[in-house]
Amino acid sequence: MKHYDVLFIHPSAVMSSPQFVVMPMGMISLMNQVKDYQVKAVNVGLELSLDKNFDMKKFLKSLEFDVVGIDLHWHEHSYTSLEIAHMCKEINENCLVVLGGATASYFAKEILQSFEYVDVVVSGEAEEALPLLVEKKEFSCIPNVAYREDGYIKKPPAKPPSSLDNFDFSTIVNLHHWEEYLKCSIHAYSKTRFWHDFWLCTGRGCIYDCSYCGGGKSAQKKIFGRENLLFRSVECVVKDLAYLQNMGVHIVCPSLDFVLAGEKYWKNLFTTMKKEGIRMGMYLEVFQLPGREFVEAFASACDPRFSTIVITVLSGSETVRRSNGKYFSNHDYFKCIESVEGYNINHVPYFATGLPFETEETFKKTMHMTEKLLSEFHPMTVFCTPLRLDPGSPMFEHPDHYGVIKHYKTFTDYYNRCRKRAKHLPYDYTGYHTRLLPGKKIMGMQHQWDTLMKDRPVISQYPLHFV
Amino acid sequence: MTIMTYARTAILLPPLTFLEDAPLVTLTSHVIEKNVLVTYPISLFTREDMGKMNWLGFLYAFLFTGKDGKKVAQISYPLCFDQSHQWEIFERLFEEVEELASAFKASRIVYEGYNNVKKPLFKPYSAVTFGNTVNAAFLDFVKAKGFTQTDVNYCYEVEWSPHHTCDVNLYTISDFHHRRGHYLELCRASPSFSQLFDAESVAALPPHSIERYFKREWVIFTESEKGKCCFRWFPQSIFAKEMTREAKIARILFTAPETVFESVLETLNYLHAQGKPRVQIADIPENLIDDLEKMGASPVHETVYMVYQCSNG
Repeated sequence: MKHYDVLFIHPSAVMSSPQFVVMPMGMISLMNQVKDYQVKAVNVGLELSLDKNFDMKKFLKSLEFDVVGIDLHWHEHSYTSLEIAHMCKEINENCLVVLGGATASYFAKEILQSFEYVDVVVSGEAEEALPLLVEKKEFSCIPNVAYREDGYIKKPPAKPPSSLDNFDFSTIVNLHHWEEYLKCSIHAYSKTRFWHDFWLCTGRGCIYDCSYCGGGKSAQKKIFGRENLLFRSVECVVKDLAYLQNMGVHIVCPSLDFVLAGEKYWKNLFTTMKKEGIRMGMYLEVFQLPGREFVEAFASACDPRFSTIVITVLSGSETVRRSNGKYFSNHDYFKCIESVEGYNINHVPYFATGLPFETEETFKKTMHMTEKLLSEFHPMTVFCTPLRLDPGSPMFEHPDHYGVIKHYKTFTDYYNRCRKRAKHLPYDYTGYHTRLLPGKKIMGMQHQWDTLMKDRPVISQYPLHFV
Repeated sequence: MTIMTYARTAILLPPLTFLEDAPLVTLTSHVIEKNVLVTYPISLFTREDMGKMNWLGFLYAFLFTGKDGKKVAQISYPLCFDQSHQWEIFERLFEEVEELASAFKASRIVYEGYNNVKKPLFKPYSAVTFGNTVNAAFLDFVKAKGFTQTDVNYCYEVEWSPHHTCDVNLYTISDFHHRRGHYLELCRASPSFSQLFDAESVAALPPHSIERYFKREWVIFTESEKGKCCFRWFPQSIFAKEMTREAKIARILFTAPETVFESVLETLNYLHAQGKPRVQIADIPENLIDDLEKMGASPVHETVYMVYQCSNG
């Protein structure tokens, strides 16, 4: 039986089928932080995509492992991360079960109180903590580690690393079926997708506090102790891009909007990419509207055919949009996508239903804006989804300010939500409603938008092979 | 054992730097029919221990139903990254195409090759969305495999000079959906467009990202007593900034062949007025060559249509 010092597990959001297959970017750096040990990582959703009969228990029984690191970054994994933790302990009672990620960090105390099979929660960024855990250092000497001691939960204040340049965010070969992972969308592996992509950590933190986001400025401070935005150096990012290009990656998806790093940074980045012969597609989620000069520089350094700028428009109403953290007008948005299309770059608008301050009246503006996009522009696709209440988001922390009535408050609430979903029971999708919109109305608006799109399918496939 | 022993194939693009002659290929270039993918970019490669990829070859294969109702597998864009194993690489890629063609029950495999290339080609090289590339070695390869030439047409370059206007009405259509509907009608009617498709369902789709290249001024319609034509052209400045005077007509659709030459003349006038006096025109049938040469056009290349009859055919 093969022995591993560390086994990493990225759960699927349900045990029996692939959901939320893409891993948090920190998983990669953590694997590489302990690369001198015997390390293996398994992505349960990917394994289920490749083999629908994949049996996690059987898989665990086929290995020996000392430490198991399970990610609980997104709350969507609240049930399965804990189920897998339980399974690991049942199979190997001597292993050290470690949970980490944003959701685990936020609810560290509650998790340790309620789930005895979790030994440790890394509450904060884990790159410095993990090697020390593997070395079996005293928990009290390890930064960002929450643990039990004498019937109490110890949770030191989170302290993030001051630089990310010493971490390796791109070497992925320790992941089981890593090559297939490069062909995964959020939901599954796709054999027929004809490009490889890779989510690359380019920095951490944020300067914005969008209402719905659990990774914004104040959440970063509360969960990770991160006060400022931190970008990796241009040299490190370019080195990773060169490595990924050699690995056959076509599209890189950066974790942060380069606009936030400032003009000097992105000009240097794009110039260095060209100098180093890096020509890849880029899937960039911008946090506000990019300026024309940025779009031009982006188009000159990245391959426009395989590049996408994702703009979170949120609402057709400028007032609602601004109240939720996006500060641009409809006029400026349309000017921006005109310029993006002028450089032959793909673009994707994101709308949301259930936004704080949204009403049925303001939602009509979202519908109109969607219609205008579909008839006058060429978005690669258009998204609109109901929000889900993110722990740590401004909506979660200050519900009164946003007119939000929270249905989920504790980790157990999220755990139960995911458990019900996994067992195919009815569950509360959004976890909140607003004073202006009951839950049913939110879903009704979503249905209205879906109906609009049903008659005008977007887009992805085009039935003609010839121009 | 050679590198070919370890070579494997995948549905995968090559590094994007190698797709220079496929300017229209995008993230959404794949085509699905009845939930089945019918676009296969095939890469041949090996990987080193730490994952580094060594690319050996690439081609695009795609499957469609021709206007004769028969199923067709088409090859475009073959690339070879290791000249020392060129023939073996082509063999491996062709084996994949044969498998696809067989699974699709294709009656024939077709390839558009370029012969007598006299000067650099403007983009797109072909009217195949996925692009094509000049590859004389692959043309030799398909001949050796038993492909036979069934047709040839030409690409000529013209520098605009004043000429008589003709009795042809040239127009563009501002409304996107109307423009597309009109274009699709001509695609259906024209013998130069080989794919069978359901015009109504295509016309009902919202603008696709590929249709960023379908602007009003880039789709020219002509009409005379003899029939209708359409010219789809691309300003070269969208592919190379410095090429401000150049244009490529990649697609000529027509309802009657005798309308084409006069319509070409009118289209050249239009392009000149758009600041594009230097034009490469592809898709030209043999009977127009004399007229074009008389007006000073020079040959760029020939396109030869190579066909391989499958056992299903």
